[in-house]
Amino acid sequence: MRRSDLGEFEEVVLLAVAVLYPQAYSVVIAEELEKQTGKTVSTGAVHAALQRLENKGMVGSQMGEATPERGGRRKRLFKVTVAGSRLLHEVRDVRNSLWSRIAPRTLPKIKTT
Amino acid sequence: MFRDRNKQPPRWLDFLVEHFCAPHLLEQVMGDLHERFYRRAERLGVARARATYWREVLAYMRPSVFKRKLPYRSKLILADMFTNYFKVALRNLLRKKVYSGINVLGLSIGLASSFFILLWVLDETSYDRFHANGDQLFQAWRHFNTGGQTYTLNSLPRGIAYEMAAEFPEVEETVITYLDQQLVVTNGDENYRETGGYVSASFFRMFTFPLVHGDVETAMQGLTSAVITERTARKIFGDDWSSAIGRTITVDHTKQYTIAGVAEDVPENSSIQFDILLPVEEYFATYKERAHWYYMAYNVYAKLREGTSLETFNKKLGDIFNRHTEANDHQIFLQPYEDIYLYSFFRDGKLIGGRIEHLRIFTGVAVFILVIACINFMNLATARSAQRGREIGVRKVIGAQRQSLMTQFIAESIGLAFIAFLFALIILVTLLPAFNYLTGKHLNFSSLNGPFLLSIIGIALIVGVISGSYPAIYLSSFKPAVVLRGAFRQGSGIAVTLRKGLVVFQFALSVLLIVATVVVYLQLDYMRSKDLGLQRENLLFVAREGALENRYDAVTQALLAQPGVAAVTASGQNPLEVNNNTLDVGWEGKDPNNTQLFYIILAYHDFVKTMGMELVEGRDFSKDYVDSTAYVVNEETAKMIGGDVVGKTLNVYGDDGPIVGVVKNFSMNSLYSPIEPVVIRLQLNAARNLYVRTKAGETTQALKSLTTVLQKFNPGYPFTYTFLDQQFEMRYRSEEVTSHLVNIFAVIALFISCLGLFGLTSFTVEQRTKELGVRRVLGASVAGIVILLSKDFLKLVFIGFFIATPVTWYVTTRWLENFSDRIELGASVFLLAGLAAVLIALATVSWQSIKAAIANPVDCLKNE
Repeated sequence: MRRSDLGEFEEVVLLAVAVLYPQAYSVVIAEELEKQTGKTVSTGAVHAALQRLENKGMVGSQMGEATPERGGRRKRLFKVTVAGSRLLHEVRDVRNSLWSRIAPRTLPKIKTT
Repeated sequence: MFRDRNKQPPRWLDFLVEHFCAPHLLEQVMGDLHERFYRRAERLGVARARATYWREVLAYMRPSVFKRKLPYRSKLILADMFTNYFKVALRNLLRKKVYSGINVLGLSIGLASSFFILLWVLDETSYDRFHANGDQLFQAWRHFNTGGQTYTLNSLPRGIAYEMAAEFPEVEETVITYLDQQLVVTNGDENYRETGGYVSASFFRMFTFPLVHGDVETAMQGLTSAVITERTARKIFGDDWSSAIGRTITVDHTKQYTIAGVAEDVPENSSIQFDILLPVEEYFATYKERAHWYYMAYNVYAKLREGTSLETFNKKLGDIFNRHTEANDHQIFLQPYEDIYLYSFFRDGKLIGGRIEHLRIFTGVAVFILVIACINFMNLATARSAQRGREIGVRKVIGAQRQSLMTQFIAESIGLAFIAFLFALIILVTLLPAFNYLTGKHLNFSSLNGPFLLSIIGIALIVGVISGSYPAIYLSSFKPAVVLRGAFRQGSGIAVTLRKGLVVFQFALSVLLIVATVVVYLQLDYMRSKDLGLQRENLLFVAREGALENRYDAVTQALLAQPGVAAVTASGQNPLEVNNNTLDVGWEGKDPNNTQLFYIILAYHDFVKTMGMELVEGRDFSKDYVDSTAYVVNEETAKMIGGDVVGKTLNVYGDDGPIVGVVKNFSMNSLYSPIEPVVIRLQLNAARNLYVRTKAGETTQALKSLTTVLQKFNPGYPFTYTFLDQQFEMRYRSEEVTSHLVNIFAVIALFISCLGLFGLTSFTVEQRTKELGVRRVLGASVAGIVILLSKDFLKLVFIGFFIATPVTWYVTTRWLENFSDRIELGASVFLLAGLAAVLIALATVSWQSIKAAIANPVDCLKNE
């Protein structure tokens, strides 16, 4: 698998890391995604995605502070690296350019809420 | 704030996570899980949160979470660590010289024993494996049913070879051999006695015996060609042996042959041995009657085409003999030639083994000895764990992983195994001549070749790993806090039980070997001293050739006139190996359904007297009576005929004659087989050997007499003779060698076991020095202390003995079943062997315990 390959879930997790910076860790990312998508997202899935992203060099991490509801355990805080940022930009550029090239009325109409 | 158990995440799920999650991830994972839980609990209620918690946990059940982080190791540290391991190992070795000595000694002896056995096994399995088409070569055998018994023999008539080649397309070619004959070879005026015989023209094509001179295709082709070995060529032709081809030799003073080939000396690991080979076709041309279907004197070999199924072929081959004769009791079959050396014992028509049994026994013994040596190592290593405990504790505190500790200990034991390996090699090289002497083999340094060296290095490595593995697991499991606090108690639970178990096992093996040794010895001794029914001492024979054949009376008269000669007779069969048998024995009133096979000896005057047999009734053959055809029978035959047999008429081979005497039963052929009925027939012309009984104590004189007489009558025949008792010893040599070796290895096994026991005792004594001192001060007697120290170990030895007994009984009974005439296996053998083991163990233990008991208590109590 190429390093730059980014799964859909990984992409949204990466975006969430960027959104939630500097307090981006598994639990809040999971909740943010749940809020955004309306589906249940387990911290385990987020954790795994973060692990993969970190292996690919898209995010960096460091141990954060401990809180009582964590039973005094520290959390691992993530932040997007330069490579991650570049990748996010590329992905956005590709999407934007594709969107901009869709001819009018090609897509069937849908109701937006 | 969340104290209530029911408001917390389910405990068991947390437990699951703690167990599976990699330690370096546990903090964040558990933190995330809990934070998430409490947030959900606040939002959705504790019950919902608890009910769905498993889903959260499940999401973590993935390899990336389980996977442990590899400990960080730098190369530099690794090298330093190895230096440190090495240093510590060396210090331990040197500081505890007794233990190191015991370990190295035990392992060296164990390894050396197993190397010897390996050498022997490799040599045995190399027999007959050097033929280029080895897997296509087979030897023919016959099962022969008579009298409710099946005999299996490899002596076959010529016809089998001819017909097999003619009838079956699967057969590429066949070879007939008639070997192991004593032939007198004459070159000019010089006479030599050579062993060899007659073979088919295709002999060298089928078997791979390379020729130094001559061509394998044509060497045996001519009717007057002969092939001799290089050794023989040098002997006969001296320095110009290489020009031997084309020269003429005379064999047995009758026939001339031209040397057509000189073969390399036959390797020792070949079943077929020869010095001279002559064409068998010419032999059949001379002795036409010996080509008959009932003249079964030859070995027959066949080369089958590649891919022939032996099983199918044997089915087709089975009745070949019966089809060509009127017989219906023979079944012919082929056996792979390469297997015959190891598998050639048949009973009731079934292959039951052969020398392979000995190989199995010794492989077992080798494994036993190695196991015993390994156990010593394990026991001493774990017994000394208290000393190493501190080191292990410190290493762990500094951050050593269990894995690296295990590596350290296994490496240490491998290192020790290799020190032992070097000693074992020295022992091997030093004792090789003694081993050769004992086994009658000629192993030398060329036997210590690549595969052998690789195997022994492999053995040493395996021994190192096995003996190191248990201590490694055990020692590395110590909890640093416990060992360093000093509360570490030597002998916690499992380790001690296991150590005791291992001692029991060691002694069980030793007892097994000792009893086996004693049983083998007793049986062999019984066989040696058994009354064979004839006196094999002071009895020798020479071949009847030349003048001995046609001037028999003159020669015997001359011999009897000489000093030292007690009696002379002629016989066609060695009474200790009669292989001549027939159904063709009749008498008045014989049951027509009687299919008993009778062994026939063709002999001459004074047979009973010369053999030292005992007459039960009647008389010996004698020149004082004018007998034309007469018979002497053994008791077995007499019983079968029934009544007063002397004077009755017996018909053998169609000739009627009176029975003149009955001799006591005597052992023939093999002590493995029961007594068979025998008929001795008066017939000089077939009596191939001259038997001479010498007067007791005058053997040298008698031999001198023989030489003088035979040189006078038979100048062209080099004088050779064979003593019957020596021949008898030779026959049981393989048992003898087995007995000797098992003997030695049993002693070695016991010795190594005792070494271990010695080590353990001295360790215990060392541990309890203070206790013993206090006991002494308080008035314990020396005996009391010795008993205190010895009883634990002796108990183990006793248990070992009781475990070993049934196993040993089973094994030895099985072995004894091989003998028709065997010793009774009484309890005394076991008791004696057990007692011996216990006494030796006691002596070993006492050495240390007495030393400890008589030591002045002041010495051990004065310093704290």
